[in-house]
Amino acid sequence: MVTHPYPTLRPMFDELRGQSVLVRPYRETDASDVFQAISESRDYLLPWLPFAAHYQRVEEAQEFVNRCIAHWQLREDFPVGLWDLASGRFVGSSGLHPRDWNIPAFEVGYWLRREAEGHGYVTEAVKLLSEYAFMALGAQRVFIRCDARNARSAAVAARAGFVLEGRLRRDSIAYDGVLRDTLIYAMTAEDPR
Amino acid sequence: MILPKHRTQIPIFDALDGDRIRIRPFQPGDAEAHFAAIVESRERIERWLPWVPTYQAVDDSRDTIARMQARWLLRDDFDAGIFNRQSGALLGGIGFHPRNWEVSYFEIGYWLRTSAEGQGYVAEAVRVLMEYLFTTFDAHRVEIRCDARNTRSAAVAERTGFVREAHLRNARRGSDGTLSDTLIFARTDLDHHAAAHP
Repeated sequence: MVTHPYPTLRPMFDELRGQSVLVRPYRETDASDVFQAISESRDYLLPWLPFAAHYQRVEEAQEFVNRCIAHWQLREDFPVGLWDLASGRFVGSSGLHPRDWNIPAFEVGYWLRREAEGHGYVTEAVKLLSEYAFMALGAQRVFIRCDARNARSAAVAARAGFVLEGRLRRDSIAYDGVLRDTLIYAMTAEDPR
Repeated sequence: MILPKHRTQIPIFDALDGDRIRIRPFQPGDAEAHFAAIVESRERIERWLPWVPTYQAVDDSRDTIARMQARWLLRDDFDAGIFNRQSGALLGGIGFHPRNWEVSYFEIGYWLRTSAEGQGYVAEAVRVLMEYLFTTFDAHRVEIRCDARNTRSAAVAERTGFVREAHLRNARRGSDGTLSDTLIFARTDLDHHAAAHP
């Protein structure tokens, strides 16, 4: 499971379904959804995700989606989009990022479009992705990092059952140039899920 | 420090002195001593340092020293030796690894030869090096990471005023296949200045 002679042939899910969220890799036709979601959520995402300053044109979203598809194809990274299961509406983005295949350890990241907040989409997606990492990829460690001031992001990690392992002080510079702290949450294969 | 446009022009020390120790980059003439120190210490340190078993001949040390010199010149990474200031004898290694130049965030790593244990040499070297990083590089964060089972290494971090910030579970797989946890210690500029001006 840990090593695969042909990484691109490693089996990966086509989609994961929760109660309210559909998690699946990106397709080329997703660019306009991604662009619209970032455009309407820019101010809301910017304090936590400096990339939100970009994506001023739909071509940038297309570039992002194309790169996501390529990374997935190479099994180097597993970025996914999140959709409302009932309506098919794009609600946000997440991903399972391999950090060390020898462990194996993965990092999960996520963002939500502003208007999709409060439905539990992200918590559900994090649970689906981490469960997949433990069951199908042999993960021993899945972790989430976030700005210590980002209470909503930290709440997702806690709600999904991740354990706060520590706080790294002054390890990053925020978009406004201020030094900030980073929280690390993790779940191990032995933790209750 | 305002970093120069060209990284190789970042000013860097030739040597840093403590009361008993000197920190300086390794030179080709140190290869025999470097290899002898590793051979002598193999059993004590290979559990914590994955590179130890790769040293099988003096040429391994010669090659490493050449690479360390190149990385030093490029300002990519800074691996130095800890030497007895009086005798010049090699005591161990210490390095600082830039994690984020923009933040001015560095990690310190160290090892000690077995015959030099128990004298506080590493703690002295860490104090000298962190003082340099905070004063010359205006470091905002200096970090030490170690295996959670390595109580001696953790004790050095604690003795030198680093704060334990995190315990990462299943964070590394050793060469023997076992998973281990990692401790993260850090000292920030705020810690450092508070300690200097209580």
